[in-house]
Amino acid sequence: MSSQKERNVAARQSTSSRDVEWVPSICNFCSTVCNVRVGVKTVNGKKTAVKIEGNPNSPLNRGKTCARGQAGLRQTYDAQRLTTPLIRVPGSKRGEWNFRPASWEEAYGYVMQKLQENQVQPWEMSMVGGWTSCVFYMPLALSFVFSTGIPNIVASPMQQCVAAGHFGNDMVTGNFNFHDEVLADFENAQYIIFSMTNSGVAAASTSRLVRFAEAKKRGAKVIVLDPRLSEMAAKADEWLAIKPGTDSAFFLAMIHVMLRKGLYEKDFLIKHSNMPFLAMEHQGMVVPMMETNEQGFPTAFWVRDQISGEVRKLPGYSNTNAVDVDGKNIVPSLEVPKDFEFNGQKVKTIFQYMVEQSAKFTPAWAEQETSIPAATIERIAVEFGQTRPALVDPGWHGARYENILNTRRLQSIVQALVGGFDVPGGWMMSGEYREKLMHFLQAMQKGEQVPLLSLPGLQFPLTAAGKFFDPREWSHGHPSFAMAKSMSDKAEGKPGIIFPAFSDYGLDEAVEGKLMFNGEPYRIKALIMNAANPVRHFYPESRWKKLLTHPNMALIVAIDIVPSDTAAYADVILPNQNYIEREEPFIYGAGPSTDLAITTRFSAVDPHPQTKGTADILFEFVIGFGALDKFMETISAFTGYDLNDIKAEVGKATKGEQSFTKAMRNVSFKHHANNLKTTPEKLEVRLRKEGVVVVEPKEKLLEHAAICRHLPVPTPSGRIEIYSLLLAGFVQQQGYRVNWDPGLVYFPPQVNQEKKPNEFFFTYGKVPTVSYASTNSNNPILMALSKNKEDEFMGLWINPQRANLLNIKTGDVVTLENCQSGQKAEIKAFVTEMVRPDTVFMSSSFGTENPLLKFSAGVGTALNKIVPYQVEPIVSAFRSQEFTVRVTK
Amino acid sequence: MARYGMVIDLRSCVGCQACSAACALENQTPYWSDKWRTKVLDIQTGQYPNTGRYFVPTICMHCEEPACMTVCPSKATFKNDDGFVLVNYDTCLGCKACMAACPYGARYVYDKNDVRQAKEVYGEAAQHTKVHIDKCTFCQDRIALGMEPACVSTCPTLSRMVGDLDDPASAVAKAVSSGLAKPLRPDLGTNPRVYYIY
Ligand code: SF4
Ligand code: SF4
Ligand code: SF4
Repeated sequence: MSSQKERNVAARQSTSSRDVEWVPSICNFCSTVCNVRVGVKTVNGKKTAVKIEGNPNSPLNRGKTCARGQAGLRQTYDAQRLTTPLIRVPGSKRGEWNFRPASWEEAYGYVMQKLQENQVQPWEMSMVGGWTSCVFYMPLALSFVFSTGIPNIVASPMQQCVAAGHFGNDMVTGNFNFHDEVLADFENAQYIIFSMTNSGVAAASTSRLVRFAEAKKRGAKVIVLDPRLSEMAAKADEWLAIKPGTDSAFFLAMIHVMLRKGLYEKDFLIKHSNMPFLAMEHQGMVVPMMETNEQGFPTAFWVRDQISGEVRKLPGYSNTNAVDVDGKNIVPSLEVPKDFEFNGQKVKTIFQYMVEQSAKFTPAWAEQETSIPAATIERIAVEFGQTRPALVDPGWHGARYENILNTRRLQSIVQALVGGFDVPGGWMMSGEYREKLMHFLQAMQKGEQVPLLSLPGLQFPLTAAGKFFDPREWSHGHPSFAMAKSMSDKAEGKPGIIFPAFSDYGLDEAVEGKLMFNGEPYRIKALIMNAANPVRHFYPESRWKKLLTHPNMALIVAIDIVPSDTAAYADVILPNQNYIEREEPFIYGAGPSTDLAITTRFSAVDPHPQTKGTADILFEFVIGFGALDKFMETISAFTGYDLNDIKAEVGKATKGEQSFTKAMRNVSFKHHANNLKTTPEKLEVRLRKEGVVVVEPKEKLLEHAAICRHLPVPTPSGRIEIYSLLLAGFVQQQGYRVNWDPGLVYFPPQVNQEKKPNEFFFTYGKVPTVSYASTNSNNPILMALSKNKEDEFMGLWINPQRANLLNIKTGDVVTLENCQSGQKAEIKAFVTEMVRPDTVFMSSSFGTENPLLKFSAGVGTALNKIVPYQVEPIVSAFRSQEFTVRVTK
Repeated sequence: MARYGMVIDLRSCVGCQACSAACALENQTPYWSDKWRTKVLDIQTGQYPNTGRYFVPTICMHCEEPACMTVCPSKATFKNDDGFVLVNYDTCLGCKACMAACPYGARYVYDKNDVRQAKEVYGEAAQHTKVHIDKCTFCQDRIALGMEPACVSTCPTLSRMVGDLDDPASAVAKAVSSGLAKPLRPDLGTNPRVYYIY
């Protein structure tokens, strides 16, 4: 027992969380979008945020946060916060931090004046968006560009990640964004394979970690493919240090083994995939037997019924193959007899073609590619195929190699072989995704249109980006500059990019006046950047520094919270409220939560008086452009919000009675309250108390809204597409190229490593204490945590076998040189047994430059000093590891 | 009265350092001088390709027989009713005898510079206003409020668990009694309240 005095001493030792008021919010430091609560109390007479906790009500992160989520509140109190609009001092150069404070009126006036002086046409502007514009402001950002006629949005991380990797998975499963639409159910899986991902789970996505941890505690077997011993690989039962860029060979060999040994869910493939569809060979290509409508969508397929032995016709869009067009129950065959004929054509099933196509992808072949022993690959394929539930993590971060779409696609095919969608231990779709799918199907039956932002899965990016590509969608007849560039490529006989969605492809030429469209230069003269930091987040930095400082660039506006490296290149800086200060203009779905749930942010502390929310800034621009009515109409059309409500609320805002953010928030609350049969006031009370409201739990949803079992997916056929109709469409449009082969195909990474001891494969990745998602790396706590692991986090990982030959020791400053592009960077070496001897590794997200960023400037080396501009031809994803480097001391 | 203990599961810890960050914010520890009440070691073993990597969070063990307490000349180190080993910041002389005695390296000096910085960063909400020897308090203030310690509450992998070691139904007691969770260096006779699963 302690004494009374000691008790008093203990009672005086308080923690930050004592006597705080908890305000619900959403973390802003990565796209996991964890639900958090911000602890606030009065300090020095001011309401101050002192602690963040995960929201225990969250179906996503279950009350937890990662280190970034914890430390995030310090962004609010960054000594260098942008707290007033800034205008570049005349005569100073972009890149120099030389601004004068201005009022908002002055700043808007300056923008309008510059646009007029330079006669900037709508298509000559581009938005540049960071991830928050996408996740939190999509309705406003899209409505903004469509109502003002700006056909250009460059957004990260599309080419860096989303467009690339996800698109690969998406072609099989029809959903769009793996951060938003899928949570892998690690908790219930017995066997888990990870490939090319550290960021996605271990470094660190809290909603995945809480589930993965259960798998570890239960003793599920974990396999990690990674050339280095990442945080993720450290948790593996088997770490396979695969040769960089060859993961697709590993998955092809798995498919080879699983198809041959019958290690697949036959029933699932028969009912829910296009494996039983009859197909034929045409000019060396496998083509499914199908009928299509004028838009090219399938209206019928054929299968051979096992019971009757007859060929039966299936509907073009459906979740199941068990019922034919006449409503008769059938059991399609996966295989038809040799020389089977239909309509006078020799046909086989897609399954049979896949078996044939996978013949050459033996484990022995894959050993040559991956350097993983054939016996290991074979064993893992068998173990995986025999264990249930077995799970391949969908993977985060695309890009890296031209073959990444194929790799992610093959991962999805492996997952399809074990039928692992919307089942325990498989890929679980988000509640929001299911809801959109259900609405979409209802609307389809009634022949109604679905608002753009309610389109499910892959249909959203295909439709939204499609508008940017189509000159007819714009009164001025200009598609996005990236599409214009792609069209001019094709005119010159170059491949171009099929789907340059939200891409920077051709931006340099547009700025330089070299991009031609319809015989005239297609120029980009002005950029409006929202929460974007392209000088750090795009490749290479020299490209962006050059175009930002180009004399043709008439105006650069940056909306940001802290002085990022990119903000230094702006002409006008508009200071933004941060995530714990602002109220959101909308209610959101709770990210990838498998429960259908809604959430939003509440203002936890007062914003700096001169900062504004993005919604308000966009509204002011729209008013300046004279497009307010069109803006409101477009928001209504895209979101389904009531136009009269929008007009009434926005009307109050134009009179200065409330902010535009508040106006949209009121509209959004009313809309959701209607849907939930409650009042906006009651909904507000509940959300403020709980932070997240579960509308329908996962268990209930799975009873009536599981993909495949109940709902077709948004692929062209509604089925899980092992053979990709989308890629087949590309073949039709563009001619064959291995990148869009709709079947099983391998193409190796294009890296030729010379056998010199100082030449290496290059890899990069993420560590748990940095955020690629925020423009703010200047967090003192995160920096302190990173610095105490300086070698691991900021060093160039190099194996002692080579380091010894090159006389390199940990801490030595070495020069890293890109053997293809010649780019060079200096970095400290970290000599470690944790990486393949032929490969070096460095982390992304260090090496900021703006000296105002007191904690992060000059710390570590920036990845985009060494990564060149090279993109793949489907979505212009960055081939950000497809080169070798020379390391010299 | 509950006998609180902690179990740290090394099977699931991914070394994300959320615990360190949470503790720094909750207890205003001097991250600016790289001092932490809980740190996560990143231990690498073996030779490629048989390399191992282990994350080991370190923390005060809240020993039943705390060596730090016996050597403290000013009796500033004491155990509270819950058995947490605490330091009276007002009477601590800063002599570092405890630091030398602690076999787990759990203590550090909250020095003059740290006190000054804390004032700068936290203003009137600064918790540490005097030079003293600092260490983990098991977040006894949060425990008193019925909350989990900050590091436990945030750990995304549920690798840190707290509970009553005397309640056979608690997860921590089960992990300990089954032998799954073991103390570090039991040979020292310190009888820690923090156990590890590895
Ligand atoms: S995982 Fe992402 S969203 Fe969640 S706390 Fe960490 S940074 Fe924030
Ligand atoms: S928070 Fe948990 S998982 Fe992360 S380092 Fe600490 S103990 Fe390990
Ligand atoms: S129990 Fe509290 S004081 Fe101790 S390490 Fe955890 S957060 Fe820090």
